[in-house]
Amino acid sequence: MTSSTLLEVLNLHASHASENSSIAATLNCWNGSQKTYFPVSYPSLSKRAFAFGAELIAQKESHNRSGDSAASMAGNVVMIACHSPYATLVAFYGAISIGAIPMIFPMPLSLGSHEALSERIKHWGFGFDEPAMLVLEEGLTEKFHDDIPTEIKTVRLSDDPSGDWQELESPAADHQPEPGDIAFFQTTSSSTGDHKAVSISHGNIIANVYGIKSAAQMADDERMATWLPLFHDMGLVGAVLFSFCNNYPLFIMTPTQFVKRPALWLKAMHQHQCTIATAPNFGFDYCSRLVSEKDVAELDLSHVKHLFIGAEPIRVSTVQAFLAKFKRCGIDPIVIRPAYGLAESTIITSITPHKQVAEFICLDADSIGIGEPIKVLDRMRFDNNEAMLGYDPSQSMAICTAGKAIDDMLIEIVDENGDNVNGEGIAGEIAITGTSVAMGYVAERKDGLVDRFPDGRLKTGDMGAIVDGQLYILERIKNLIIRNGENYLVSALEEQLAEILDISHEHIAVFETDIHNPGSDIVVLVERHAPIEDQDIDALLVAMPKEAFPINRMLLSRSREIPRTTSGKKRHFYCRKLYKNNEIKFQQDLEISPQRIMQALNRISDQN
Amino acid sequence: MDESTISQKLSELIATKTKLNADDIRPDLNLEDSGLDSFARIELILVIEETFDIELSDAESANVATINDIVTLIQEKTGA
Repeated sequence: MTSSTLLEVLNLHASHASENSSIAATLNCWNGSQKTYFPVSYPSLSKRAFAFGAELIAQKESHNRSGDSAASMAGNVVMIACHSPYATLVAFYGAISIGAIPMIFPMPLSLGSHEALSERIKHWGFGFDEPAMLVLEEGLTEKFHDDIPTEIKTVRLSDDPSGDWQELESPAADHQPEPGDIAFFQTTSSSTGDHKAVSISHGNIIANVYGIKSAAQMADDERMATWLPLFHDMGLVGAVLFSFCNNYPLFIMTPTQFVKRPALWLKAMHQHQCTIATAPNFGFDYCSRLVSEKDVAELDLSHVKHLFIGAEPIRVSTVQAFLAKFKRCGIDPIVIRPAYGLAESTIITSITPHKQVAEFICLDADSIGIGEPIKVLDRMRFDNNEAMLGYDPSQSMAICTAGKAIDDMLIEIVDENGDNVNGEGIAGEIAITGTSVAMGYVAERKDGLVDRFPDGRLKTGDMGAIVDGQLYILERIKNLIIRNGENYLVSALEEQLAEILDISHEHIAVFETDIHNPGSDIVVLVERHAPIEDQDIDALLVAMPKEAFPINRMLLSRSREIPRTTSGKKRHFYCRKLYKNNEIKFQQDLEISPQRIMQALNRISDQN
Repeated sequence: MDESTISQKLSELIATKTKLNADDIRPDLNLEDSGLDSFARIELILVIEETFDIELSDAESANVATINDIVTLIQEKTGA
């Protein structure tokens, strides 16, 4: 295919069905109760999406009762809140087909509560000149429906692909987007309260999905298996749109189904001869720990060619354990391909070169600093099990390669002024330019709806260095926590904590204690003169934000302990360094855990 | 299995996950307030499925807020 917009891809799929349906690839959705995949061909999926686009227009007309024309949906935002990948995609492609802008939300299990989803719907629903429409899957509680303001038109959608679905041969609106037009909005983090999204153009999608195929030297008959959430760029672009645009069959399950039974993912690869899969570090780690020996004995994965790993720091122990466990299934170290990407670059920025075994470099952690040369002490290739098994994190910091830029993308390392840092192995912020760099962040109520990146150059907030022509991600400068492959803006958490503690967010820093260890503690450093009295601790514990991940520890300091730039901005990555070296001075140390929260809940309940 | 037996069993499962005393876990405890993260809640759902031999969809898993809700759902699924 050589389409230039996602709508062209949809039209192409729809027209192929009438010519020769036998060659059409399929979306295959896992049905947990029937223990089987239900296939929907891409032509049929496209036509169902066209019909759903018509339904959206009709619903809008009936909601407004003003006889709006079909073209009026162009540029309208359509919020999608569905558990099932199938319903999500009918709604997503349906919105695209009529020129509307889809935006997929995480569901309550990911957000932590129904209220969090409701709050997000209300924010974005009224974020634009015209209220956004909402597509909800059947099955959410009536209480939840009652909480949606009536100004937000809600359309319900079945999650059953085997149902009686209408199809339309062509889109219901005469809309012809240009490659530079907005295709969809991608939220960039999952925590409650932060409302940040990236605007992705049709051209961004096309450049990225074809760029991945070209850089990885993939064939035309690949097959893919995924469990990644569709509100996440890695799931939506890296698996679904990538497969759809390249006409690859896709076998899909929900993240919940994967967490319950991780062997499902590997069995999909085995049974359906999938050659490509992608997951964050946590997914590989989870499989190593929880897939049974009995399942391993039955798996043949020797046909797998590309196992992409990214979205969070890649750990030596994860790679070693995964290869040790699944080597007997035919997994070769060369197929594990680290990649670097972020929503702001549509998804993939770089991947390890084809037919090259990836490796870790072992650094002197103290050598990492902006503008400073990193000190490489050792190297470990993925095929050197002995070296990985013997790796001692107390002696060095192992950083995995993130490969080379894909086609039409340029990676540069810059200093704090944004100037290029010259030289091999010099650390600095990673800046990227190219066709996959998104249009910019979504700007509500602004003409064009986008705050564009200056000069089309994205400063990623990640610190990296180029070694032997390959990118290595060293640290995180931006104010972000990544857990289980998902990003969480800590500024929102700091705002919530500021309210609870009744101080300015400027005096609160939330940080991971080790970005390379997904199990490391999350600490809150608070600058507050007054200590928290014993009688107030229960109320504090109950009020603590619980979405997405737990905060493990709160340190209260009477002095100014949060490191800052000369202009006063908090430097979270220096908090990490101070914490590691026991250099934070604090007067009060609160442990926070589910046990303590529940005990506090019970005590408060008893008092009432 | 009657309501109190299911409720007791659930409290024990949650206690195992949270390392709390099962007697401290009350039927009206809202899981969204419990301090369990989303990952731990899915693992809990899995244990419930295996213990009671039922299958919960993503929507059903998301809709249960309290132990009482889970008890009702289990009774519906098992016909208890």
